[in-house]
Amino acid sequence: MVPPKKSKKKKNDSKQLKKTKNKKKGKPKSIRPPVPLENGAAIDSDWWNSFWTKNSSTPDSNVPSDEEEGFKYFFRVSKKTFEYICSLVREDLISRPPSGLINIEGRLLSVEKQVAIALRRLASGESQVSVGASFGVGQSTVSQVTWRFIEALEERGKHHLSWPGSSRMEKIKSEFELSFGLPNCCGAIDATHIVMTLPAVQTSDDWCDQENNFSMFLQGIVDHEKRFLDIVTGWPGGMTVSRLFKFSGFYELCKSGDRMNGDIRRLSEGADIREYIVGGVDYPLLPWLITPYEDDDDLSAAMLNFNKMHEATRSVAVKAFSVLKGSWRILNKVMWRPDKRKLPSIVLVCCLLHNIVIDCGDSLHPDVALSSHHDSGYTGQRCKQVDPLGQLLRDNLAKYSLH
Amino acid sequence: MLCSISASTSTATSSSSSGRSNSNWLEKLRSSKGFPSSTDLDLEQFLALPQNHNHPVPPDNLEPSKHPQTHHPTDQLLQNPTQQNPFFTIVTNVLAELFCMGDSSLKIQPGKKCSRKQTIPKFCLPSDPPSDFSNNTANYGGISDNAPAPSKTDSASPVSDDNSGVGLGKELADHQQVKLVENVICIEEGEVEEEEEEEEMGYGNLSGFSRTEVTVIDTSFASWKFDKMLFRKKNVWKVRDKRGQFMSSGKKKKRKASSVDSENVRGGLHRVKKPKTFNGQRGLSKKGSDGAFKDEYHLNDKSRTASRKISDSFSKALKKKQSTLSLENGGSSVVLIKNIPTGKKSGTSSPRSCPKSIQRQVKV
Repeated sequence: MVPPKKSKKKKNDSKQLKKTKNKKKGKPKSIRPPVPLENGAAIDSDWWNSFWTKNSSTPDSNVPSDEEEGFKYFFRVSKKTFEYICSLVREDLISRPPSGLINIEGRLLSVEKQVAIALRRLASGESQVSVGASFGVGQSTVSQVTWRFIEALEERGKHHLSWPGSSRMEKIKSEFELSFGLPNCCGAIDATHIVMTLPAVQTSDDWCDQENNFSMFLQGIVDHEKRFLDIVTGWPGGMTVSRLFKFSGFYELCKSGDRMNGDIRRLSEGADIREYIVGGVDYPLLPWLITPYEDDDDLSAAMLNFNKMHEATRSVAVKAFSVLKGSWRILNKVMWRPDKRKLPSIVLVCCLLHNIVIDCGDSLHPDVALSSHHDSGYTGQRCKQVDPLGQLLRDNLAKYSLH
Repeated sequence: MLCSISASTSTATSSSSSGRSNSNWLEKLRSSKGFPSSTDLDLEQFLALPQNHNHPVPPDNLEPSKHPQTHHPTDQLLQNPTQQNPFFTIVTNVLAELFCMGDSSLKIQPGKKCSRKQTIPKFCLPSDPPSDFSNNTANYGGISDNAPAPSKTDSASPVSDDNSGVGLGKELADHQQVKLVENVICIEEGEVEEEEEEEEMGYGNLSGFSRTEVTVIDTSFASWKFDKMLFRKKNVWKVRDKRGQFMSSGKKKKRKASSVDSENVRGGLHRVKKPKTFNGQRGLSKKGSDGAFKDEYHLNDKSRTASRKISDSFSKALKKKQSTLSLENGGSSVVLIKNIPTGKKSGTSSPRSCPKSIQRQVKV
């Protein structure tokens, strides 16, 4: 029984060998030689030189002439911050010969080039084809690299987005009071729509928002530096902002007393001011979420003054979203049929990058145009929910605002 | 109970209809039970006659006839309860007991026939199922596959060819088949209902809600990323945890289970009847020639040992019987048994349960 099988195997083997030989003759690249890295140095800079020479001479007049500024213009971050981001994701993105991504010349992509491709894709919101063309890589490479980067930063950059501890919170509160006059304010909350198109089979009223766009919500609470402290994304744009808020973990934590439970500030008038955040008219008035007085009411001077202070504080959140959407324009453009499971990760990574820029002491290049409002075309739907304790707190703050 | 009666009736009627010579034992039986001994007595006439006996008579003619418009004496009896006699009450009692008609006197109304279908059907297993029952059950799969359930129930309405005992036996078999069908349908429906109930349990009362699967990232939770099931009905939004593998696996399980069940039902006795050699064939197809040889070898081994055991036990039993029978006084049956040859060869060939192939292998 066994010997004939062996002979068969031998025959098969010999056939296979012949086949491979033929293949080798036909396609000499079938067995790849060890692929060299684009640059042997620890930090690759060749990609930048080629990118800069290729893209600085474009008819786009906004491109700064200075190389450093040009870097910031294209990637929204300074070279220093860029290196830091590379260090965060290096372990996940480093190309290893069997599975590494290869560029057109057959060389493995360096981590730097991968990060640059991903950042450019997120920052510009341009198509994968055009981003690939600017780097000399294909569309599929841009797609793969961007998603690998998102997955890597989603895990490695978590520490850049967290609810502050008590000491840091005290700093935030004092900064808010110093800047806008509201005592014991922990942050500002706002929400924006990430607009997208959906295939016909996925179109649902749930995703269709008040402006008849298909959209996904992003809600964020920011500190005085426009840093995101807490975000929620993934909920469909068809719901109201107040509903979105009530589905958030922040609401649950506050409701159960596990958040916004820090030191109570006693005002000179004897009123106690607990920790709270400020939100727009589309949020409910709660003991820990203060909304402005309605404009149509007969507002006292104190109330009007409070509303001004409130709006100034809340505008930090509005600006933060404007900066976010202006910096990472993939969020600002109408996404074409995104994977709704992946979109929240893209949004999160953009928020992480936004925070990394702030944490690294970086700033947005002034030439990067920002829209006047992050959610242009959307008008807030007033939430009529009023909690008596929230009302009391707001009245106390209004009284205090006159001082 | 009904089945045992029908079996005895069928034998009685068949013997009488065949026109064989009247044996003494039949006359004795008739006389002992109070029946008239004459063979040409019409059963309907007999039923109409007032008789004084306590034993319930098989209500053959009370079985729904093919032509309900024809007037039978029993129909007249049923229509005129004033003419009730003890036998009639016995029959009605038996019927009431069998078909759960409750108080028969209350049910039978003048000018109205009692319902032929059982309001609360009873499942009755015969002590000696008719010979064609197994065949019918074997053919059952085809029936259930092709014909819808309601038509089966309609066909189950007791419309038999004749009122003979054989017909009744067939009817019973059909009736039981239908019962089986009904049971299967009930099980399947039950499963569906259970599933729906589970769904309701899992998501509460969310009928009319649209469902959307959402992947949410919320940094307030320990695990930032999670999937949720979002339900919406106009302005009412409800969130539930996405039903994970547990539920889906349950569904799969159910499907599997239901399919297995249906296979079992459809396959009937085929599965049981599959010969053991089939395993060997399976092995052949899967393992190739070597594996098949091994399987066959094992099978031969097993079959040899099994057949040896069977033959040994059978010969031992025969020997024991022989020894006991030899001590007993001889009767007709004893004589017959005594005539059975008790050799070792016959012993090995006697067990019918052994497939012929196995027996051959044993011989080899």
